[in-house]
Amino acid sequence: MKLLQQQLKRFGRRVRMVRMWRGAWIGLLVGAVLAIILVAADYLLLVSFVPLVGLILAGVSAIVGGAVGFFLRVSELSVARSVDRRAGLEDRTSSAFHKAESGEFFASELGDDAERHLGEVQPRRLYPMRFGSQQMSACAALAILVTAVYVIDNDLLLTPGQKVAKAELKEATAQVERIVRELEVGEGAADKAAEKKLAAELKKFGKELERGKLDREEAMQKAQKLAQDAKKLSEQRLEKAQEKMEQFQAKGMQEKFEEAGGDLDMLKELQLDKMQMDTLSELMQESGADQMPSNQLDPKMMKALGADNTASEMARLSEAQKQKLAEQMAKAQQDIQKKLEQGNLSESERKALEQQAQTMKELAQKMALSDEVQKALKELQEMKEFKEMQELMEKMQQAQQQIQQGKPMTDEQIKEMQEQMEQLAEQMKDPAAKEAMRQAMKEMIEQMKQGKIDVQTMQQMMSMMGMNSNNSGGNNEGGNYQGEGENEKGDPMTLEGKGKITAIRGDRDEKRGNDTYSEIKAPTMMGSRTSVPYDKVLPGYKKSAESAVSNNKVKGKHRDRVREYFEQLSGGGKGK
Amino acid sequence: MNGLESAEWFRKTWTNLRTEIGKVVVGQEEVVEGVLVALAANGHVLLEGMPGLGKTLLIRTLAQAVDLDYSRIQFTPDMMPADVTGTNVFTQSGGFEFRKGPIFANFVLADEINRATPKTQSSLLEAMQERQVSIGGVPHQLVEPFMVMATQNPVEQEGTYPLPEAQLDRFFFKLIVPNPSKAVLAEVVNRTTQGEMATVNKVASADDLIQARRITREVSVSPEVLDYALSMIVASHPDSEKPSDIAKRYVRYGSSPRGAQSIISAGKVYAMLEGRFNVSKENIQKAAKPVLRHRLILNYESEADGITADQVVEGIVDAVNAGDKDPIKV
Repeated sequence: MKLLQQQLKRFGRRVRMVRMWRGAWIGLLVGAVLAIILVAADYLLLVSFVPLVGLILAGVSAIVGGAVGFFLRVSELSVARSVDRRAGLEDRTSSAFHKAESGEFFASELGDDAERHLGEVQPRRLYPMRFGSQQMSACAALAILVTAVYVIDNDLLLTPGQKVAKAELKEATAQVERIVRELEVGEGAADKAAEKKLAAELKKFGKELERGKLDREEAMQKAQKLAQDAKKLSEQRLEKAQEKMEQFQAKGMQEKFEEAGGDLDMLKELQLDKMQMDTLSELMQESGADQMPSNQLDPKMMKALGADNTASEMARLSEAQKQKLAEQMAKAQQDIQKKLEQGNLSESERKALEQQAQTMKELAQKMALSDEVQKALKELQEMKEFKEMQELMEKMQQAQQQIQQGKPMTDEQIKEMQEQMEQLAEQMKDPAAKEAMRQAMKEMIEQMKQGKIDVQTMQQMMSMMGMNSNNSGGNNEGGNYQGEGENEKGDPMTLEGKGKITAIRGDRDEKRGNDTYSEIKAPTMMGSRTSVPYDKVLPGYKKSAESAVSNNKVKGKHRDRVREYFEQLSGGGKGK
Repeated sequence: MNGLESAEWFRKTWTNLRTEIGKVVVGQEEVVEGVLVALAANGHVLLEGMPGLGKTLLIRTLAQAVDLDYSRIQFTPDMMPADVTGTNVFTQSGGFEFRKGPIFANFVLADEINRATPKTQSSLLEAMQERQVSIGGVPHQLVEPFMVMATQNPVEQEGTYPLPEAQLDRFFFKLIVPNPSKAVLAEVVNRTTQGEMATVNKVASADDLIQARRITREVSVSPEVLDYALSMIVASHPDSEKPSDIAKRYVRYGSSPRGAQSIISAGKVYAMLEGRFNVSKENIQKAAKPVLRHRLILNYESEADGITADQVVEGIVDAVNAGDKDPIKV
């Protein structure tokens, strides 16, 4: 029986070898066919596939097929039955396999007989390594694949001119692929679907360039469109990330304000209604307080603390201004009192005077209230953390501008910003807010890093192909304004962009009820100059304008003009 | 005797028997082999063929070669069962005495069995299966070895009664005796019309036959071969789990379990004769026709299409072979 088992093992080994041989060929066939399909699909731009990988795929498939064939289990009984059939042993082996140790009358004779007959058979005769139709098919598939890869990757058949053109296109393709890679690497993107779409389009564009499927004109148009998409996407990502950051910064600011003894509710109480505001303006002008210097408060800080313009206005009043106002208010109140006492007033006049007196009374109360708030605000402005926060914001703005100007952030800059943001996060009391802050800042930095990719590289690519952007070329220095005081530098009129100034004229939509219209001429607030540079507010206005256009709040015939206007402002301001 | 010696002895004995029969019976190799296989497997044989083809001669020669009792019953329509089994007769001493019929012999030649009425034919049933006959409620054991060799003319002939299914199932083999070829016929004529008739020597005894039957039972059958044989039996049933297409179309009733027993027993004898200690699928295939042809009850469609039982058996064998594939595909 031992001999029988040894002989069966001998046949089993041969079976495994033949299976390995067959498996390798089948694997090669499958791999090659799959690779041909992928190469063809790649050629037709249905999928992205590197032809050379096809050869690797075929090779790997062959190895896998061979391994599967070799390691597939072969039972001794199957071998015995198979050998019986192939060698014409008339079931001697399988019978011996079952009965040789059964103790039956002919058991030993049966075993001997089977061993003797098996000994006369050569495994390689029963299980030859054939080169049949499968092998031929695999060879044919491999030949087709090699030819396909050779034709795609080879320049031998091209003329010198075609070779130069192909080299240029290859270089352009490489550029596009670099953009795609960087787009694909970016995680935590706000609009992943749009990013993916853009990456896919870029990939396709790269392939089209490589295959020479686009003429120069088409390539230029497509590159321009993709550049615009990339730019738009980049801007959207930055805006979203920035909004998030601002929310968390506001939270941090509010915490610090309360730490400094401030009361957010009290700050809200400083808000003035229209009548109070008008009264205050009159009193300011009449008393000459508007010509006096007011307290300097960071508008961003006020915004972060949830104070509107009127509350900020109250908080900004200096001691001297308040004194002047109080005097003027007392005088005005006396006048009102006198008029009321004269008694020759109509009912409506009386009521108006009483209301004025009431408004002044309220204003006086709010002025008194503002003292406490002002104290906390001053303390907040003096705090180290506040200054750090301000500094960080400035850095972020600078970084953004830098990116928009095509100068990528250095690693040191990124690191420094990251460290500062970490500190800021640490200062937050709420752990959940702290974590959210960290996430937001990560995203922000990531977006900033990625923001450079689309615009700058696309421009490089476009210029490489002789496609200079027509709307670029403006000097951006005028837009890089962050100073205080005079606003002339930030005026769009003085920016050196090539945009044209377009006046918007139109009719108000009568069906939409009452509109309030307020025209604010610089300086934006009485008694102070704006400290917000023009190019910082533009995105917000632009967004509002876009929203108005998309919500049909602007009449159809003016929509394009509105869009054009803001496009030009953006272009000029950013120096594109 | 050990296994090898037993096998050698068996082969030698059967070769001698074959040689002795060959002295008298010319040609008909398959029929002679079939009869000897049935003899070794302890079965009965039904020989079918036209009159004058040497059926009776074959059986008589076999009886001479083993020197055993031989009786010949010529079946006729007026024959009664007692004519076969024997009967109790009233003696002068006043009692009844059992007079044995021709069935009480080692070899019984039931000549033209289908000429007898079914009642008489049925008298053989108990003898063939139980190896005994019951007369007047008293069983009488038959001698061993016992073998019935029946001959019949093709059923289409006039004045014949087809054998009932139960009777047919008790025959181990049904062998078709073909018409001799011209060369065989010439040899027959030469041997019987000139010189002296050849004498048949005794080459085996009753004990030898019993010993041979014991040896053949020891031949091994692997599970695969058994499965193969049983698949054939199952495939012969039109209503089974895996019927063959031909059985579904032409067979009314398939083989009985006796068919399975017979096909394996026949396979064992064939294996011994071929010098092997195991039954092969080839042996089963060889046994298929003589075992199954009389056990399949064909339907009217087969008759209409002119399909014979042998063709159906061939179809069944082909169907089973098609399902029996090499387990290693390389």
